[in-house]
Amino acid sequence: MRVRILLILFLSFLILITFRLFQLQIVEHNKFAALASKQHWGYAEIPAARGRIFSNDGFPLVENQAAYLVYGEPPNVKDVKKTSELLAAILVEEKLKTQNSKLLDDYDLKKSETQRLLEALSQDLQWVPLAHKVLPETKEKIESLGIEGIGFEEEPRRFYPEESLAAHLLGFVGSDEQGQDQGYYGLEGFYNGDLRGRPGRIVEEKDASGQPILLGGYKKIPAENGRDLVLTIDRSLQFMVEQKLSAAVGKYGAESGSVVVVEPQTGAILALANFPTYDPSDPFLNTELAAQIESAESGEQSAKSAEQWKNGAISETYEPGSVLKALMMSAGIDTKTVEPQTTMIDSGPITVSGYTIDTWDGKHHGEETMIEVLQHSNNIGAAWVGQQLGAKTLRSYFLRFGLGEVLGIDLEDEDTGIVKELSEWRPVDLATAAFGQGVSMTPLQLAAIFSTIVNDGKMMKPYVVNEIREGGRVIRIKPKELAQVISAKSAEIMVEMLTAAVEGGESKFYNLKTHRVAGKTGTAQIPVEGRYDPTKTNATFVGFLPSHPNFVMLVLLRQPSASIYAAETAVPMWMEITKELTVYYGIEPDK
Amino acid sequence: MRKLLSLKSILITTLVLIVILGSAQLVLANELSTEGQKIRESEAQRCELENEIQVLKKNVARLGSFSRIEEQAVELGFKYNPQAFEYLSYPKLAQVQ
Repeated sequence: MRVRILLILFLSFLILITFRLFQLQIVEHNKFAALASKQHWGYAEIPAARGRIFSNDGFPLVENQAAYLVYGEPPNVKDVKKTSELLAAILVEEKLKTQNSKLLDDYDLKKSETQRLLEALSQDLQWVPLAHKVLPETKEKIESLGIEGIGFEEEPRRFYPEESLAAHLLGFVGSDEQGQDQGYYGLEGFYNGDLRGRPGRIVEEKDASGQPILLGGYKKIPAENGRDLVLTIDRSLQFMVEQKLSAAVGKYGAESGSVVVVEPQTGAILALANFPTYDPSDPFLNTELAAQIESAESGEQSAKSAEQWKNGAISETYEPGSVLKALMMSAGIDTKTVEPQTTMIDSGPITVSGYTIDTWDGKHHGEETMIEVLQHSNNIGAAWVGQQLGAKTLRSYFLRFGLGEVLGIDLEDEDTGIVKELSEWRPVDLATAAFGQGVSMTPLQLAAIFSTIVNDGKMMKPYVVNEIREGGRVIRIKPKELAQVISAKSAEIMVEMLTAAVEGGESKFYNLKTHRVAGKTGTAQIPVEGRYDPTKTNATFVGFLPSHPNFVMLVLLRQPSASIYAAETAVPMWMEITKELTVYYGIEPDK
Repeated sequence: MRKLLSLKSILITTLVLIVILGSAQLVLANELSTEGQKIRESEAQRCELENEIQVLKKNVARLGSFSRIEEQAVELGFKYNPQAFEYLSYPKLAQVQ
């Protein structure tokens, strides 16, 4: 009997074990296999190097440099307070070295940094990130302290050999919501997908202590580095233009300025500069924004920060003023509505729909040819041509020249400008649009209009990236023709008219003594609350050298205080840059 | 007797084989782990060298930057004045030559 009971007990126990084994190995196989795999296998990410950006001479405008993520393992940190203080001292030291130390309060920074680290390390977590992209020398300093529970992971950061050169073109790298590198603005934003690459992984078997088993399983999925970009930007030109622009903004007391240099035959951007600019290696900090560091670091992007990152040459629209007479006249010539010698009578101010239209200087020259209308930048003459064309035709030429839509440049945040619907055009709108009021555009669109005239009426798509390189593969970006906007003959006539406009125009005192120049000035009043402020203007000059039309350059100074006239601000600046360009390109004098 | 001998020789042969195979496995495992270690070390060295290359590239780029070249040029007493350029026409150029 006893034996039987023992046998039953034994069998029951066996059945129980079998059942449990069945449950563990068959029913919950996947769950436990996953748990075991997690325990046996270690995963490490191999970061992909972000693609570099080169100027057209092959010089790196953006490089990568080694940097590290500092992380903490709170359960392994013995003295959280002391660790926080030690780390804060080193991290603040790096911050002061890489940023403008005059703007930062050393003591306050250390205090807030210590507090931040203290809070991070006091969390009930196994792993917390403490500092991103610290330099190798900082890593060495931290390592030399021998603090337990502090570790490092590779996290490369961007390096800009030319510092803030072409900052608005390049954009900058920040973090996305998951803490991964993400390009913002300019090329970094537009080409983020190409530049970021794909991180790789190392999968290896670990022993009980977490160390890799030498003869265990090992699999490496290599990282795919990001693609490199080679730009159309001429580094020498960009450097010189930025220097001239920053000097001119100061000299003429302007709020800001932009310069665009385009190769009209291809649409390649040779230089594009804005001032004020910012440091892409530390986009949250400039002289005006020191006070905002804290909010910026915590991820709150202030409106003012975003404003300074905007590429004014492609993202800010404005009413260009008289410089748009070049487009209006192109339309007149192309439709054969007028010819260079066609005359109109300017006997005084005119009234359209109750609004008075006058010349910018109050002078009236009586009978004027179309050449003289451009030379005197006569608003009444422009309004007359506009009326001859009609709203429908003039508007159609605005659209043909690419206004009201993006040109498709490969940079983030391009604006379209505004061209009103035809139904909204009143007679006064037709008159004012002919001399560049009531229609808004970006400086790039304006430069594209003149490039089209220079390029026999063919409009090219503007572009900044010339080549995309991926390993040994090179993808070349070919110039793209957008449209034949005006005939080659009309374009030829316009080149002559614009040359005459400069030679006999309001800016003649600043003209080059060595080279003939073609172009048009624009002094545009700024619309404020439904009316134009007569004391504030934007000064523009767009021009080229008719005998060597290998570049078109736009110079825009926003609200210069030295003079409200473009002829006294934007024109001398344009001439100064061009003087250097003739030397740089070796262009012989034609005067 | 013969049966016993043959059993004994089989046993010895098996033992010898086991010892040989065991030793071979041991040597092989040792070799493999040494090679594995070497590969890891080489990979670490490669990483280090790649980092060094990156640092050197960074330094080259920094030294080649315009702002630094301009700074150096000024220090060395170079001056650039585009206003002072004189364009030589062909007859003038002939005179110079």
